[in-house]
Amino acid sequence: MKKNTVNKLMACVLTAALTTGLTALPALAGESKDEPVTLTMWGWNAGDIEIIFEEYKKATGANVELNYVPVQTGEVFQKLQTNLSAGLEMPDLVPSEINQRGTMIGLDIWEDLSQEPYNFDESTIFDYYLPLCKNDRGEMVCLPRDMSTAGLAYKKDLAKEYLGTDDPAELEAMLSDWDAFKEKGLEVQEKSDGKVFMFASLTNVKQILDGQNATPVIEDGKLNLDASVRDTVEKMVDFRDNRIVDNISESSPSYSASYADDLHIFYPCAGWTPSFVIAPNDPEGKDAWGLMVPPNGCFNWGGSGHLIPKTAAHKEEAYQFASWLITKEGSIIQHDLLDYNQANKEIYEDEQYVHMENEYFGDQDLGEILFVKAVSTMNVRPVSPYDVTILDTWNLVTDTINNDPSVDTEYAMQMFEEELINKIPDLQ
Amino acid sequence: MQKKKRKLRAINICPYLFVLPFLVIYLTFNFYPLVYSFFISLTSWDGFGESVFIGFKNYVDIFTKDPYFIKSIKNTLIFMAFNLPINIIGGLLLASALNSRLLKRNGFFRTATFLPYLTIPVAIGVLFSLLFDWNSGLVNKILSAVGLIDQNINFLGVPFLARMVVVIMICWKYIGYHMIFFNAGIIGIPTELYEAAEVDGATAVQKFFKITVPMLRPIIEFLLIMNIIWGFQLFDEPNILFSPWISSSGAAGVVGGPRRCAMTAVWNLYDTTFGTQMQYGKGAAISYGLFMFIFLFSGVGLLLVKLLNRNKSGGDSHEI
Repeated sequence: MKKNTVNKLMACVLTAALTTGLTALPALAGESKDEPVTLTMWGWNAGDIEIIFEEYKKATGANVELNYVPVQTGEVFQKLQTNLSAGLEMPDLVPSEINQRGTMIGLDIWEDLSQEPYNFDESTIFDYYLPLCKNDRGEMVCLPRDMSTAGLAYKKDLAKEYLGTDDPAELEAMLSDWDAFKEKGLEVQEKSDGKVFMFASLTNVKQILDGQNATPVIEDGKLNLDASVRDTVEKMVDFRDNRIVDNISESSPSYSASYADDLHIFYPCAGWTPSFVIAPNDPEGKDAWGLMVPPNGCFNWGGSGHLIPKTAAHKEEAYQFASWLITKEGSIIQHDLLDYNQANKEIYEDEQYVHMENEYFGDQDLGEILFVKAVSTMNVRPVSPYDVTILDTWNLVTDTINNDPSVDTEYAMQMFEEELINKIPDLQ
Repeated sequence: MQKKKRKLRAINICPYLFVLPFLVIYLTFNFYPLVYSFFISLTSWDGFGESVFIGFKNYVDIFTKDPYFIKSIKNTLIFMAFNLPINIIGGLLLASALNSRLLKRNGFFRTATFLPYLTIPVAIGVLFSLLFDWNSGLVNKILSAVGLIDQNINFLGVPFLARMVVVIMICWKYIGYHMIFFNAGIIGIPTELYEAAEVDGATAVQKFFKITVPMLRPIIEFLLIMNIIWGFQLFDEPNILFSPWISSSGAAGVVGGPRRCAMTAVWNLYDTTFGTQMQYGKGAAISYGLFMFIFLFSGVGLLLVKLLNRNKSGGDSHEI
């Protein structure tokens, strides 16, 4: 009986030891120096990033592999929450789009990339990008990718017919501020018997005017609506009442169709707009478009970046890749391969990389506006932890102004304030 | 020892073994999340940092300070006030019509009315947003072509009309589903009852109210209670209808539709927890608050059904 018990015990110990040893083997093998490190990256453009990653490996000799997990832009936050609360492994690189960035980087879960061991050199990227990459504690937690400067695109034939010219310089002189823009809009309405509008959607007006205002909506826990929102709301109401802007919802099929019609002249236009918005919505519109500096100057629209979680398994390797993307070498490779325009300052010293052409804009040099004029004049609003809530409030107020002609500036401002206080009760 | 073994043998272990998988799954995936979400509802937690225990503050806030919770319940009740009678009465009438001997090819019509239920909510949302678009929607084009309107109607921008579009969407989708339930019930009604009524000279309307409706009573009661529960769970259809599925700039759309008129209780719960507010604690409190409403309204529904049954059976026995 006693011997039997000892035998059983021995068998258990041996089994346990064997199991432990076997399960430890793959882990030990993974730590071998010859084995590549697998970077886990979330994102929404798998095809392109895989091409770039291969080029990165070729250019730097990095011993890494990519595990790319497609995640929709709007779902990144939810996926992060799920991973954290369930104690799941965090990815090495997390994408960050501008609409959610402020709220996202406000969380104390990201590496400060300006500190050891990364020491990211902020002077290598355009200055305008810094307020969009730093959190409210001043930590540089986001590495930007593409250029996010934006101007005003217009349909050349309509501009010529109703404004008398399709030359961008002449149009910029004619529409130097928003009052002049409104005056011309009234003339266009008159000439076209009320059929032609300067803009298709009120969201466009909000996008440009709000993008030109650098004043934070919430400062030190206090609402700052008069300085940050009022002027935009006033113009939105004014433009709606004077039919400078049509009533099309920006998220409707009619809006997409409006790119190809002959009823709407101007649209906001960032570096990605010609390929991703104009080309699919106006396929016949080659050489039909022009780009100009909007009244009161260029503005920021969109912008992607990368974040590295503090608990990521391969932080250093992730940083090496994300920072390579915005080096001179990485930027040139991406430009040559995929026409990507990165936030690296140095490459724009070379005329070749400043120049940007798109067949929908004929032979116009779009880079002259987007990479030269815009970066030197643009003011951007720093991102804030409240950005998701502020954007939701903007969407509600814009929709209400558009749908209800009786809504005036005061009502819209009151709605803005109430909505923000409802969602952020700590505000003063 | 022998006694013990005999006692063990007396307890039949098989039923317990059969129940065990369900019990384990239920405890892991239903009971534990229920208890854990109640614990979360007593905390302030954004899902990222440390959670802070705040007692019943979230519950007090959603009933006294948060305007969205009560508004979302009101919106849900408005939708239910339309959807519930239209679906039940419409489904019943449809099933009766499709079982009529006067109708040929009723199999085709039965399939046609049931098909919308098989359509995925995303497709329905897209379809209705195209149909009711302010500028280029087919409904506006038809109304304009027949001369009923001079200016296009902003169906998805005016709160009352937006709600009506949601009601139409829900009824279009679920009326066929209700019809299937009633159809099964009608097939089960003995034909002798109708034949006897015909012999007695009953009209079609009399047969419907005196035979069909009473015989379908259990189905009506079941659908009534289920509609209350489904009504409070409404989320997909209004969410997709007002989502920017075609936005060029990746806009987030208006949560709850124009002026939040279509923000249902579950949409509010989703938005609070995972959307623009990201408050797990408050979201969990909303889910328990919503459970209270479902419990209350289902209870009232059941009570009404019981009272009606008691009155009915009392009345019947009196007649006898």
